[in-house]
Amino acid sequence: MCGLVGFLNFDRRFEPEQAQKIVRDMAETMHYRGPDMDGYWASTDNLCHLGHKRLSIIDLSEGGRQPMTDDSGRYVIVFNGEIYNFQELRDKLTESGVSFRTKSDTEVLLKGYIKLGAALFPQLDGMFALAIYDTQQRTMVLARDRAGEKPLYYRSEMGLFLFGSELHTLTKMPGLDWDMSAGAVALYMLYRYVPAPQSILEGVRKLKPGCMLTIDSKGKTFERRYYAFEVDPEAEATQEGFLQTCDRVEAAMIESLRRRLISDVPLGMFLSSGIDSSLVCALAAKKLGVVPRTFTIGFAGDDASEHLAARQIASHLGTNHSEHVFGAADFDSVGRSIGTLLDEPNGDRSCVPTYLLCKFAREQVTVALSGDGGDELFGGYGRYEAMSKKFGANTQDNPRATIGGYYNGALSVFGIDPIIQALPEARDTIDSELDVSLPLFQHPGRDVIHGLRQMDFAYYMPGAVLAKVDRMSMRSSLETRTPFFHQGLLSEAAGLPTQYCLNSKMAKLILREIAGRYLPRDIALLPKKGFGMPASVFLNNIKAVQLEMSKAFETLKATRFFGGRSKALNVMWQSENINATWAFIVLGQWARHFPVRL
Amino acid sequence: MHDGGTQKAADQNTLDLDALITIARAERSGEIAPATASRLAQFQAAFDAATAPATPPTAICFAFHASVPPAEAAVKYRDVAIDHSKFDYERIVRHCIAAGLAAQPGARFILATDSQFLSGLSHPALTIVRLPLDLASPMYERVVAMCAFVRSRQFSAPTAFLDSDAFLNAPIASLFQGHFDIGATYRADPGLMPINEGVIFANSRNKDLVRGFFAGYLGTYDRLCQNATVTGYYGNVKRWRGGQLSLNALACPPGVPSELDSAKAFGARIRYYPCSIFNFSIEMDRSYSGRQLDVKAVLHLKGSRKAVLDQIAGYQTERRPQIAQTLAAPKPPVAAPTPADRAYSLDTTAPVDYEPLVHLDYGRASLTEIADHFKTDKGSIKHNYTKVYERYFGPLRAEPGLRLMEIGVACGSSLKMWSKYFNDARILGVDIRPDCANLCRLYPNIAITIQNATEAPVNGSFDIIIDDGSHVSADIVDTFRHNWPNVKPGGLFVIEDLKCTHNPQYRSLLPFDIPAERFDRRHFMDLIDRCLIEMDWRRGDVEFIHFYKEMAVIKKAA
Repeated sequence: MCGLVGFLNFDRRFEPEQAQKIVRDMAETMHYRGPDMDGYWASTDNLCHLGHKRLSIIDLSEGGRQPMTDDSGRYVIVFNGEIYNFQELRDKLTESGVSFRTKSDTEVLLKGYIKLGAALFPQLDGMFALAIYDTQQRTMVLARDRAGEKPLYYRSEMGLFLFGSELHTLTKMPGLDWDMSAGAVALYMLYRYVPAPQSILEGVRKLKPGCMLTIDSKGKTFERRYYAFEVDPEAEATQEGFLQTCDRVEAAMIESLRRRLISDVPLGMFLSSGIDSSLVCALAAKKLGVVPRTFTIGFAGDDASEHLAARQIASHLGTNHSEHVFGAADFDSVGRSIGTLLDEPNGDRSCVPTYLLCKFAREQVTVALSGDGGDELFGGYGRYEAMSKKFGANTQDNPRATIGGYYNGALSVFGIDPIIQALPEARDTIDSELDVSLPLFQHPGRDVIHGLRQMDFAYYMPGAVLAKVDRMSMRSSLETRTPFFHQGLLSEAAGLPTQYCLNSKMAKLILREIAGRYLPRDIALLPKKGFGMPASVFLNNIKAVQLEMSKAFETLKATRFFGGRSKALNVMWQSENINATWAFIVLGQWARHFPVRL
Repeated sequence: MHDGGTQKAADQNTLDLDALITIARAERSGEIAPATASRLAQFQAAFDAATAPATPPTAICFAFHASVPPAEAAVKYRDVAIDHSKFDYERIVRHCIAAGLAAQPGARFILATDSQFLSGLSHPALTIVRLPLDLASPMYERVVAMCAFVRSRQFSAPTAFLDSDAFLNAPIASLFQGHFDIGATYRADPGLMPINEGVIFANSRNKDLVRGFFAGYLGTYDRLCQNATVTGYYGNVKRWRGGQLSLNALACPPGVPSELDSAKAFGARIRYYPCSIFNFSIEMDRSYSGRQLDVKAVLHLKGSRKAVLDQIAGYQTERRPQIAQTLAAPKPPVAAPTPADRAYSLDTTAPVDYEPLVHLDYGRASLTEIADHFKTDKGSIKHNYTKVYERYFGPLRAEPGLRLMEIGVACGSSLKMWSKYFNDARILGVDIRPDCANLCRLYPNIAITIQNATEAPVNGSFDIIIDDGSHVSADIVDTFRHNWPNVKPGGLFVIEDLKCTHNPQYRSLLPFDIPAERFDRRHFMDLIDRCLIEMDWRRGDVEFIHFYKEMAVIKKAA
């Protein structure tokens, strides 16, 4: 797990020494992403500069050192992530005549790309953000994994192209202005995160998950998608088909786990009372004969705290279980500073417990498996059921109302009208943003949940969930791995009919059925809780909230962006929705600690 | 390192579609050559002159048909082979029009075609525009016609450009709420161009952008006709393939298309719609439930898939009965049966599926009409049993979940007849020849089992059992003994072709080696006699035995 940075100095605005210092400064902003090692590379013509911070997981030797060049010296790669099937790819490439110097997955990516080009990416099972530079053509390729687990920001200017794993890293580049963008703030108010390709800052973009970006020798960029999660539930629901699907999902899950359990450093698993993490642990324990180290956190004085149920699951599975019960003071202090740990604002409230959990697990392990993605892929969110009840399979005639219903009701932050009231100049942005997902709800007779799953997979999951998991785990130099993004599981999920996702009583029926094979029924059937902050903490502390809100207000008022937009600030300030309040506080904390003045 | 395959263009034999599209992209041009421009103006004048409604429709369906001359009918290109002479395009286009108007209420249908096709057809919501087409270049002429249409006053509402064998199956007007100008349908099958020309959506919110796009479509097509690599690969692209390639040059995104992405070409905003829903190509070797088809917005019978027109038209008509009335087609003249027609019922032929080309409205047809349609000999082709059957089966026609078993499948023609005659029946065919198992694949309510019904009962419980098996006297008796218990109370057991029990020539016609003794009529007469005696004693479960010419109908007591 690592951080990568780099830039293309097209107009040679920086002398070589100056450029090398900049790339080091950029990398140093993410020391927590890669505390074990760093490396730098520059092309002899002073065009391309690359930097890399490394947290070593596989191949702890010098062999995995980055930036890595191929044998000819023509291609250079920097890469952040983990490729779980790199051994198989290595064997395949070896068969076709490619030779390898190291045992690292980095070299497999580099040589795989040289051999296969863009056709490499669909073959990868893993999480990654990478950049490969061709010194001969003077072109660069950036790519990001299917689900968007690993981040990649970039900015393209006349004569300069820069990129990095985190947003604040880019701001070490001198001579550029950094401003919040009205469109992005509006999107943040809509979603409580800013979806790719936008970022909160004007001119900075995030590479969309499942996409690659080519930058030619003149700085022109071309985006190309290599993966899209598309639901086409043509399969008819039958009792027999349901069980067969369960069997296939279980087999794919085991295959995914088998690959993700390979590690040269201590590995553990997050375990909550939820079905996703319980299933991951259960299959590892019962099918792969692993005695996993499992980690749970709880909250003192909360009867509903997840650690109690998790303890029961751990004892049933015989895992090597650790739990830590945090007090109100811990949550309060993290709650007051969470925005400072985020490179880009993310109003997902579970950032706080995720941070605490990662920090706790990192005391014993360097890698942890998490159950993220299960809700989008297998239909787990409670809001899906609510939307399904309301709209059913009749979204085709008025798809706009469906999407509006989702972001005004089921997943509401500020709501559409208040945003337009606050930032009238962002009306077009909001309008075209809502337009993007329209086709998902125009399929005749398709239940609304399939459009929602597809939309959440592309937006909410990478924007809120995976961004949270990456940033919070990286802050503790912990690598997280998500078994649900195995290719076989993605294709199974894409073919699920509604009846296999949820019924009026329960969601994620497939995962529950499989869990029921290895866990007591009462655990497999536990309702979803969500990994939020205990409701009694922080947000119930009216005084603390008011104080944080005032601080946010003052901070934002002092920014160039909100300085002239007091109306926008007032709309944000007045919102009484808990999601909106929290999003506002996080935005304030983030702006206060962002390394450049906004 | 790969960069989309430009380098590969040199060798035509190793050219892949990716490389071909890259070449086509380089030929993108919105400029229309003077010669094309004058044809375009001529076509546009024809559209402008045609009748148009006073108020804009909810949506427009646009289809194009050129009657390809017989000498040009067989198309064989690198990646497509089709023989147009095999299909009844009048019926196909009629259904396309009726399905479009039925699926999208308030729609207008515009058919651009040559001077002859479907003459005499009229409907208040249909405008037929007759164009001076070059029939040897149908695909090129289609693009000229589309381009002329969007420039004309007819383009008054959002439009779906449909292949004439692409049938609308759901309303589409709400699709155009989105901020896009062109909707392209995509698929990810290797070996196929990603964007399919068969369904294209054009929004009417900014007509100039749509016009710009179609000018690019046509301008690019013109240039591809001059491109040596492209013509070297395909041959004459004016006749075939050039339209699809031009569209891909404009609308194909790099990499995998997604519903969440958009692109621009000639200023027009393009959005992507999956073919799996919006341009669904029926797979020939599988059957579909109604629910699986109900979620498709367009059903497309590409190429040889037109052979299943009846099934698809039948499904659509059942769902939207107004389709049958929209363009009430003249009843196809009933041709006098020929000896060749009997081939599909003779038990000595190798089993071959017969699929009728002409349309029949099953819901309103008589059993005899359906029998003749499928060429089973139960109707006027030979035995005329259907008239008898209608007396007994007519009241059961709408019976939900009816189960019918017929012993003796031949070519499956009578099974197809039963499956279309009854509204909701499950039909089981039984035969001893393994070849029969492959018949009737396109009929989801027909199953065929290979076993000998004279030796053991066929599993199940049936409302109707028909013995059209070997007709050997002793076999009839054995079949009855084994299978009569599986007739539901109140159900019927029918024995056909009783003439075979006394026709001395019958034994020599059978390809099976059966002892002469088993042909003795006495076996059958004894069975009947025993039944009659039981009935007289008011025992057993036979309610009646009715005899007709060559057949007996036996009813089980309720």
